[in-house]
Amino acid sequence: MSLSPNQLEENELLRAYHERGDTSARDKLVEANLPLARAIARRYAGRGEQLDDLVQVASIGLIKAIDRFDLERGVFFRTYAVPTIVGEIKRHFRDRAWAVHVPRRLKELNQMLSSLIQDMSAQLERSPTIAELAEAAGVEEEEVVEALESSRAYTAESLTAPAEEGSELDRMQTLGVVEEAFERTEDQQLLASGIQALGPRERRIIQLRFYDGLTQTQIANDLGISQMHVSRLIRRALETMREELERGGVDAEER
Amino acid sequence: MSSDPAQRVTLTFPGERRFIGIARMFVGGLAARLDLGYETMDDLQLALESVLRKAELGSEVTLEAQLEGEGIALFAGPFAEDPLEVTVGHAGELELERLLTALVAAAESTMRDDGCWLRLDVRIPAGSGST
Repeated sequence: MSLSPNQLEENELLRAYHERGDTSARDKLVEANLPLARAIARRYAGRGEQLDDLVQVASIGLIKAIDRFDLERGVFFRTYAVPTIVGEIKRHFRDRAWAVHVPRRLKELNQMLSSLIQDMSAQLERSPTIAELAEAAGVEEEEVVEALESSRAYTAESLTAPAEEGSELDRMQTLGVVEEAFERTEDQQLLASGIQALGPRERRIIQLRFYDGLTQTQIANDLGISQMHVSRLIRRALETMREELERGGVDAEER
Repeated sequence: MSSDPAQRVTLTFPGERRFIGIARMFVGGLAARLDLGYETMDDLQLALESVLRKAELGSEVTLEAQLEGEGIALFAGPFAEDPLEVTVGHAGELELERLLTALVAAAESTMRDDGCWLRLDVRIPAGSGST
């Protein structure tokens, strides 16, 4: 097997990570292969999921590929990484199956509304009203309300679920991002168990929304994601915190 | 409380958390009728949802929304205990009060004959659509 200079460097990094536990080598591998993860995620866009959600899932697949890659098998890393990333995205679609039956037209309308809210917010410099959304989408106002509600009807796989069975690290933690704003906070409540269950991005959003007083739009601009996505992440974070506290309560009772 | 029925919307549903979606739809309908912006609607939905998830629900929950000057007053109740006090001692969870401070203009509990009610105030900025 003839290796290019890039592949040789990649193999060196993989060796450094797997044989010497060099996590900086792992970070370099993640960074170098993120364009690949993004490209694969883009192939699955337009199927009812936000692109930035898919990129995040693809990144998790990439990390799994790095962690599981076996240098002794003699295959290129990318040969192994691509199916791992694709598998992660497919699993994401399967796990996020709609919890209740939602008509296709509502799913499609919800997707259209997500884009419209983003575009119209920028254009109007405020959130569009239901009437404005209805007019832009060419539907009745009731359908807009119904479609927005339907977006809450799918089972959201928490990004704070363990990255691997038996792993103590959650998926966001494996991304290795440090949230400085959170680290700086003096509010001890933020350090309590519920918040600790969140990944860096969810923590940051909770910090910005409920402690720093930023609006969804401001957070969306800050993070470069859509307002509707911020809304979903806030709900997901609060849900994760609730679950964590309930689990903590049960553990405490068992002790 | 406004005496004009046209300025007031009321909904009563069973006091079970599986009906929280109905409460969100109620706010959605309100937003459509009052020309609220998406973000205002979403924040009010989350505020109400948070209240209903944390409060000790009775057999029924009633939502009352009414126009008051430049805003909406949304009442939810009756609850056996003050929802703003329920979370005290639950370390690690964002207190309801903190959530509501960020999501609505004002939140306060009031006592009625049948129990405690929570009032959520939302301001409607002048002009078409709010933020």
